[in-house]
Amino acid sequence: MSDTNQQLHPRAVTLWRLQRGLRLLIVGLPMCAVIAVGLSSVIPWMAAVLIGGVLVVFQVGMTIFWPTLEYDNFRYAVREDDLLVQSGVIFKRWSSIPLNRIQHVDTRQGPMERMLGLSRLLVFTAAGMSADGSIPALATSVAESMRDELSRRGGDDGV
Amino acid sequence: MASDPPDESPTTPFIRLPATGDDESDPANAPTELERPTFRLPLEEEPTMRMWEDEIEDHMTERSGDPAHAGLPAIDSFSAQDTQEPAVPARQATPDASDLQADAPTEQADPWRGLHPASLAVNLVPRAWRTARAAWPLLLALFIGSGSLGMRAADLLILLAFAGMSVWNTFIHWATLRYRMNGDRLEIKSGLLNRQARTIDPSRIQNMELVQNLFHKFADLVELRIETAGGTSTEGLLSALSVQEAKTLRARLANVGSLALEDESAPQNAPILKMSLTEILAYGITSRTIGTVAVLSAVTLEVFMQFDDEATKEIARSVEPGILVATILIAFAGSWVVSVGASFLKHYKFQMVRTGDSIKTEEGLTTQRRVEIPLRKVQLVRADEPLMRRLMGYGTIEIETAGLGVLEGQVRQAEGVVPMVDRDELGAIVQAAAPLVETDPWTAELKPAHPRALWRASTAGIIQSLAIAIPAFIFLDILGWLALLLIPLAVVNAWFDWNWQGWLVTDKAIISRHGFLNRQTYVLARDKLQSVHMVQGPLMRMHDLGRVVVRVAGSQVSLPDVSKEDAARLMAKLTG
Repeated sequence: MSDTNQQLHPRAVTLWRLQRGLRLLIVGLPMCAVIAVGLSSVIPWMAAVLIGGVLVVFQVGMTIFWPTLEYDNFRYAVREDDLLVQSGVIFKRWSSIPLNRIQHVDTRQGPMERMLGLSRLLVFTAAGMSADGSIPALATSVAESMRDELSRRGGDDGV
Repeated sequence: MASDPPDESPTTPFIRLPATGDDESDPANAPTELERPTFRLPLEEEPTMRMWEDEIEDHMTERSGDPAHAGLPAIDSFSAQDTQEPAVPARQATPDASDLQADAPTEQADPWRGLHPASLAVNLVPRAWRTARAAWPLLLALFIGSGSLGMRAADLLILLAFAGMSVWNTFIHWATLRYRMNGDRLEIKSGLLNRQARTIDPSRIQNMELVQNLFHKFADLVELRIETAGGTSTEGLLSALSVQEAKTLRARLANVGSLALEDESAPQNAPILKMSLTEILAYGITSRTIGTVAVLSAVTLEVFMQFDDEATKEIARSVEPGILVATILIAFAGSWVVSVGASFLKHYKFQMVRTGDSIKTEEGLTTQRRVEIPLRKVQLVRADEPLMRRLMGYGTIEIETAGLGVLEGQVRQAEGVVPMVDRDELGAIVQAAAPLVETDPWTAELKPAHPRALWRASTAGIIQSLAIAIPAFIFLDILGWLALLLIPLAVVNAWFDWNWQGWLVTDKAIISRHGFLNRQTYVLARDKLQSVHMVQGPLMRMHDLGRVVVRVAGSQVSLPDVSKEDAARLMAKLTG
């Protein structure tokens, strides 16, 4: 494995846009409608529609642009002794998981990920699943070889 | 037996399948239970009252040579006379050949043992008491309330359901639990409909607790609680065994496991720490008084409401400020008495001993608790010094392992608690619980948080208080003005917190201290680190700060904010 910082698979952006888009359709847009209708009984309906519209535009914007930002801010590296993951657009986070503390490694795939040929890599230590140690949206082959590589290193688990 | 419950009848279709493809079974007699194929639980016969009477008699006898194991596939765990009872339907199932194989006693496997016969009676009393305590508003409403007959009937039903459930659970635990040592492993199985079989590797035991309440003491019983890592419940609960049996089991576990073997004949080590009566009472006085008062007031109000809604309103209207203040003062005094009393009962004669490589604490007047923690299982030591206790010159030390225990229905973090430790001894106790640490956080010079962290904390505090103050200011009149006071308070609070923060990372240990009102010092051995993180929120980025967070099994600890550069360096040091 390389020592340098790696990025996720570029299709990660597509995946996240699809996921956010789906959520927007199912939850986001109905909620905007409910808020607008609710407000229209308190304030003039024009203002209510305006607020609802702004919310919709904001959410659509988030759906389109946020995944790019997330993608640009995500890096990972398997180093000699640890797995380093760096993530977060506004709240930044750097995580280091010593390889000898890894209990097991999972790869997971939802339907959308399968469509795009991507997989998630989840790293577990004795401290539970380290959400920070999970790497979303890798090419499935990369995820699988990483899983095999990472889970091979054993050691004292410190428990 | 005539009083067999209806679902005992052989015609009941209750989770049964016709036995197909099982050569050894007699389909009329022993239908196969639906079962997960991978779940190799030796099946047990449904207990009936009759059987349990028999069971009590020969409860403690060994059954390893039981012919039931070899000859009668339908019934594997009960003595032969049970199987000769034709009235007892063999509702359970015929284990297939491999199940039998698994259950057949091997050379190292001990026979299955059950709980002590008397423990059912002993457990029911405290169980009933706990249920009553949990449901006391209902009880009160039932007996002296003014609700309609229907309401009372509903209350009664709920109460009976509660009571029935807790009696049932206690009964099932007592009736179905079996344990044995199989070679090096402790095996525990239990359950009637949902069967559970568990194998515990003694070297994975995080801590062990022996609890003996008043009833246990009379019957010479003890409840054994074994915690392993993970999970949210006690992994091995044996309630209850005879004292002798518990000792035997413990010794066997200690032989193969991580617990230090207690040599009965050896002279006891001198306790590292003993709590005097004054200290026990002082601990009660300094315990969460304000919270208790709030709860008590709410409860009192609730009681009044139960009595009579109108009367309560009447009282509320006619009450004078003087009386109100007096009531609050009485409530404070009352809660102090309660918490002092609770502390006295709980921590009476507290002492902490180090035996071999374990730490043991012992405490309690009516209910005695003995906790044993192997030193190498200690993940984190935390010292709490709430302001009041600190002013008295004391602190509390909590020892955490990877096991998460449940105490009276609540998940508790710390497995070993040393309630009152003199300030001068805090370092020594931490040292005793985490020998790898080699640093005394009370004498070592801790590094401060970064000066800019004060700005971050103040800004965050101001934003938080604004979120409360602005709506309050808009919607409430006098209280709204008062809410504005939150803003300077937030800054003062930020300063106090910031000023007393400290951290230190040595070759062996990580120390982190936070808080003024409730000062907490976390001490952990670097040996135990599971992962290291650095986080940075938007405010921290504005001030170029970073915060290191470390995780051990069961907990995580944040260090105070330092400059981003220092945080990155620290992270590199911890992972390097």
